[in-house]
Amino acid sequence: MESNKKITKLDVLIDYISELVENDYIVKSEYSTNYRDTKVIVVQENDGEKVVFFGNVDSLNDYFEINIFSDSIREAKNTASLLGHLIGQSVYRDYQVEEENKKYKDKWKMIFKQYSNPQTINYQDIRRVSYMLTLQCIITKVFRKENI
Amino acid sequence: MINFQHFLNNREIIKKLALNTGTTSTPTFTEMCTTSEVGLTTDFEKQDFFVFCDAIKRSIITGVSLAIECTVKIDMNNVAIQKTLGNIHALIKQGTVAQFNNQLVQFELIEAVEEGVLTYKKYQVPVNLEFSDLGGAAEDSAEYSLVLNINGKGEEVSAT
Repeated sequence: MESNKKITKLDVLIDYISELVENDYIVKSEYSTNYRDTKVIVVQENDGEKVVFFGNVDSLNDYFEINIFSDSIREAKNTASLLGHLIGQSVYRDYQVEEENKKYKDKWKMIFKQYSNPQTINYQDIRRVSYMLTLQCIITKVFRKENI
Repeated sequence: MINFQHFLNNREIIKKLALNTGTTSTPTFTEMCTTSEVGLTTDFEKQDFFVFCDAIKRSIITGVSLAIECTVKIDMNNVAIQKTLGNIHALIKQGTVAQFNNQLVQFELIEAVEEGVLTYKKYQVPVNLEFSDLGGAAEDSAEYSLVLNINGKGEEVSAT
């Protein structure tokens, strides 16, 4: 993926989830009620216990609440199970980014540690049924190389 | 080139632990326990001594005992697990323990990272199999503990 803006942990996760669901859903960080968007996955950072190191290092764990809105309850449940299978996996993602007129090749890593079992959530509006789960993960940029 | 923190999950330290399940002199390795944690533990033995006119204790490392420890979920379709259970059968039926000694195992141990990609070294080592807690540890999932005490120098197979 190529990007001109600074990539955040949330971007990496959203990008990966969209690839997993094969662009069948629109994956974004905020819920909106666009008329045509019946199949939407909303990924938002959530609170949870974080591990903090001594030294100049980001805290270890991140928590992301994932809400899956879909046309049918079965479809939403299946997608929730698909994301649940991420637990215990570690995934690398490569990005080409441009910062201050310099091009970089970045490598990000995600380790999925735990997740809460998917459960149904209240209707945001009458047309959508939805499932919610929370993933505990470690998302870090592990490597950067300047493109020559 | 900038390197940031590169944390690993516990499946990335030792990978592809496999027992020799071959029945001929050519080893055939079957992977197992890919669902449980695999750890490499060391027990350093040291000798303490004092030198003349000096009360500060010195010590030197004189040897190390190395072991791979894991909890194996019993997957009856896995040949390596069938073979380990077969060793227990042989013990009961024939009273022998030779099947636990000097068995060849293969595993990959993390070595380094090159441009963000982890590299491993693959080893074959002779081990003594210590088998315990069959079915005893968990109420509702069959498993056993396996300690592979490394019994001699290993051989590097090929880098992966």
